[in-house]
Amino acid sequence: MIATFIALTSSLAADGSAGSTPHVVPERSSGSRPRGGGLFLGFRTVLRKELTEWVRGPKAIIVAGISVAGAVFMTLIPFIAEATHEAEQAGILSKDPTANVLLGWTGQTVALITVVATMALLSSERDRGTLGWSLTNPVSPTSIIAAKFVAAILVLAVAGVMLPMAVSIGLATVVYGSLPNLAIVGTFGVLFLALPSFYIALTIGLGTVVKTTAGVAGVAFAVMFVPQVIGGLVPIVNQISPTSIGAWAMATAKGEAASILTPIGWLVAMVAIVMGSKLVFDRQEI
Amino acid sequence: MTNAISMVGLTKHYGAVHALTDLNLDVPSGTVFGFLGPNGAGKTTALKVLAGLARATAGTATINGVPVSAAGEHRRQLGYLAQDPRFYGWMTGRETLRYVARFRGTDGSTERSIATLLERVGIADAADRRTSTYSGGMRQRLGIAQALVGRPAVILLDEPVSALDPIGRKDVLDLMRELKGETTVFYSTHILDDVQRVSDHVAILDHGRLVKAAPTHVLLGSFTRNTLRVVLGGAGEATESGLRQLPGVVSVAVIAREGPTTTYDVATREGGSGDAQRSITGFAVDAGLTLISNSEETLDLETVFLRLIDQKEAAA
Repeated sequence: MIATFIALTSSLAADGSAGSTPHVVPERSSGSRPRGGGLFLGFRTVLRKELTEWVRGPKAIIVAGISVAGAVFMTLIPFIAEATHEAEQAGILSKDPTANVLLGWTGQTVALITVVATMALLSSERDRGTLGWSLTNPVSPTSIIAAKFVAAILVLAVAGVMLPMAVSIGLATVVYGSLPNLAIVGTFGVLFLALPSFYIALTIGLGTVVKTTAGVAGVAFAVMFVPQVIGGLVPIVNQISPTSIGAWAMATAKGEAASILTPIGWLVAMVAIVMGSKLVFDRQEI
Repeated sequence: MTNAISMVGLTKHYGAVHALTDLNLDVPSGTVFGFLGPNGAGKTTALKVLAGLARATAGTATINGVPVSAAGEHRRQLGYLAQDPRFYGWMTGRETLRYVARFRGTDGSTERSIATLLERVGIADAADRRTSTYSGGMRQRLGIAQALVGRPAVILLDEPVSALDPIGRKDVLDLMRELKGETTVFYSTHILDDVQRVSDHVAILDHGRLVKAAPTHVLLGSFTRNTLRVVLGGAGEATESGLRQLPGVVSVAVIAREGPTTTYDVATREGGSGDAQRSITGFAVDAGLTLISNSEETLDLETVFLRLIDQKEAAA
């Protein structure tokens, strides 16, 4: 995944190999057309641009920094508790490396980071006028939102999940004296990507309808917290809510009981968001 | 001659606002086509519909034979410059052109072409600076360069010189003239002098409706045909009636008297300008007058434009 990253982003910044030659007529484009067309016309070019923008900007580093710091802290909680003689006597804190690697992932941290990192993906481009400019090139509206989604999930997967999880595994191995169960951690890591995928799709989908970044954030946060509140009263809401997919991933990875309604709810929500976004964005005037 | 752009019954309404109404217009391939009109005439709307940024309420359009659609296939055929071009501030000018080149599938010899374009539009020195540091004029130049990447069959330019200083304006107009025959340039403007200098075809739009479309020389000629502008030195009261009696002359009007010099508009019969010019020359010699000018009247595009708009309003 990281290799794909580097390969896709490096070519945009490639230095020109030829010097300037005035009065040479540029070649006509019909000779060699970009691959792909129709629904995904121009997808690769936009994806490359999106990845480059993530890598060059501060957002990917901030996501990685916060995620790694959070993972380190959560992994070390029993170690810190022991060192400070807090909670140890109560015996509530396990020193199992697998449990401590997975400890911090059930909360809403990744969801919050994902929403904050992606809430402006469409609205900022609309404000700056670059969305309209991009759409004057041979690119389909679907390619624009699809490329934004793929780039964001790649970045969040690497910087927000894989990197902190790798750091956490290394740290747990050193601090607790044995390697965590990589099958459980790996299974969780893969399944857990469904959570940032949902929030990225949600913020991009909202960006096609809601014109401001603040509006996108407001609705996304409501989606994040309202099912939890209602789920406290009506438990089935928690089971069918796509926002519960992280807890479902954890239970599944650990081999615990997990409701089948959660991945179904997630899938239905994803399909609805993707189809809705496409229908709205295809018809939108910039 | 084939058409690079074809608009049939193109209509665009924004609620109660009729931005474009039943626009039928063909733009011949290889021409520099000026799209004229006062502010709010619908020029930008028409260009946005052609670029696929706005949807027509009714009617159809094709670019180089490819139907305009939201899917964007027709954009393989065109380059577009918006009125206020915006680019990704984190990209350099060179990277911006590289980005566009990838869309247009010109990876093969892109770097050389990009360097050439940057030279042509005069921002080669700033090519490796981030576009966020560019002035309005530089963004306009970069906008023209990106529209030319891959040399698309059609280039749509919305007010291409509006943000430029006089030197930049001249450079861009020269560039547009150079493109004549290479590609089709369809551009909107309200600077009539520019249109007269570079366009071989003109369309005039007002309140979303096409007023007139014609080759520039035909449009200008249609208002000056069969009229001579004659300037005589030493003319008297009898000169006007003398001119009126000459072969081929239909009517004579005094336009101005300045000291010994008098200016006349002489209307001639259809196809009779040459005969009238010869008889006027003979008349001046015989009458001992100084013939300062004896040529077909020429109007600038501004006058023609204003007359057409006035005619349309009077008809309405």
